[in-house]
Amino acid sequence: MRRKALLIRELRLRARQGGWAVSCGVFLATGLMAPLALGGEPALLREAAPGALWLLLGLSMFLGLEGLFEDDLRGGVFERLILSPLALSEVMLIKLGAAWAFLAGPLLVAVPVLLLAYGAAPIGALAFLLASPGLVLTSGVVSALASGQRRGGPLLVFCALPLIVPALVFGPQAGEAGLLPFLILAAHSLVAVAVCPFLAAAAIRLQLT
Amino acid sequence: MAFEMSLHLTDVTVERAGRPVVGGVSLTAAPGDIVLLRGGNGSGKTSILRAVAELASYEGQVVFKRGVQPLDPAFIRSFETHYVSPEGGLNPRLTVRETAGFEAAMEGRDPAEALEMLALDRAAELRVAELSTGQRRRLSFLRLLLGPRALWLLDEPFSGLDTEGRAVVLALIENQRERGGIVLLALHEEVIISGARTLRVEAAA
Repeated sequence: MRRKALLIRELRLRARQGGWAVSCGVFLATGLMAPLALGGEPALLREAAPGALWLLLGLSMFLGLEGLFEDDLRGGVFERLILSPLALSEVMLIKLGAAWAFLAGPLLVAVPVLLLAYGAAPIGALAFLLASPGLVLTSGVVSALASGQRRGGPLLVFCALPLIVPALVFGPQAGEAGLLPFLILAAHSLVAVAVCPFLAAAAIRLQLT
Repeated sequence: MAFEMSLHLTDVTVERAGRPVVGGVSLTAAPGDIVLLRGGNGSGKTSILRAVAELASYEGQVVFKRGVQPLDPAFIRSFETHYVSPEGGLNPRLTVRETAGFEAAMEGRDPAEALEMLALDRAAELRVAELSTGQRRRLSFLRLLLGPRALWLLDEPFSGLDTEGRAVVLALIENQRERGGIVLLALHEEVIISGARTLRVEAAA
C-alpha cells in the first residue's frame, strides 16, 4: 500500500520533471551529430558506433538524472519519509527504480535506431537493457551525494563517470565476444541493485544531519 | 483512544557540521503536554526538534517511555512521530489531490474530510507550486489529521497563516492534547496556547 503509493508518486514526478526527455534528446542529438565529426565513411562509422554510442549513453543518462532528489530534499520530503514505516533504503530503491523506468524506456527505442543508422548490429540494445539498472543506480548514488550542492550536474558527470567503467568497457563488446559482455553487464546491474539503495540512503541521511 | 507515551530529553546537545548548535537541553513531557520551545533566530529550536526525530546528530539522551517502560526509539520514529517542517514535506510538482492521496496511503485514511477541514478542497487540482504560502502550510498539516501519532514536532506552525488558519492549527493541537499526545513547538512569535509550558532555548556558546 505505502510502497505502491510511493511508486505512483515517483512515476508522476519523473514524468513531469522531464529527465527522460533530456536524456533521450541529448543522446539522439549527439548521436546524430557525431558522424559529422567522424566523417561519413561507412566502415569507420560501423567501427566507431559501439564505443561512441556507449559514451554518449552514459553522459545522457547522467544529464537525465540531474535533479532527481533536489525537489524532495529542499521540500523536506525526506524528513517525512524517514518518519514513516518505510526504510529509507527501500524508499531509495523505489525512487531509483522509477527513474530507471523513465530513463531506460525512451533510450531503449533510441539505441537500436542509432545503432542501425551507424550500420552496427542492434544487439547492443540488449546489452544496454542489461546495463541500464547498473548505470542508473550507481549514478543515482552520486546524484544523492551531490543533491545538496549547487551545480550538481557537472559534479555528477565528473564523479559518476569512473563508476560506469564496466559498462563502457564491456558494453561496446556486445555481439563480438559471445555471452561474456552480457553476463558482466548483468552482474554489474545486480551488484548495483544490492548495494546502491543503501549507499543512496546513507548519502541522503548525510545531507539531512 | 489515548496515548500514554512520555518523552524525556537529558542534557541534549545538538551538533551541526561538528559544532554544537544548542547545548544541555533537558525536558520531560508527559502525555497531554504541550511544550513551546522559544528563542530568537539561530537559537537551536529547530535543531532540538530534529534531534528528537533523529534528523540531526546529537549527544545526550532522548528516551521514549510508556509508564516506566522504555520504548524502542526506532519504532516511535517510524510510527508515532509527526514532524512538520517549515518546508512542509511537499513537492511543488504534485497537485493538492495527489499530495493528499499519497499522505492518505501512507497513513491508511481517506483524505477528503481532512482536505475540507483545512479548506483546501477547492484547491485540489492546483499544483503545490501554485498555492499561496498559507495554503501550502495548511497542506503540510494534512498528515496530522490523517494519522494519529503520539508525538508532534511542529516547527514554526503559525508562520504564514491567517487568523482562520491559526485557529485550525490551535484546534488540532488541542485535539492532540485531549487524547494524550505530546506536542513540541518551535516558536519565535507570541502565540497563546492554553495549558502550554515554555522552554527557553539559547544557542551554545
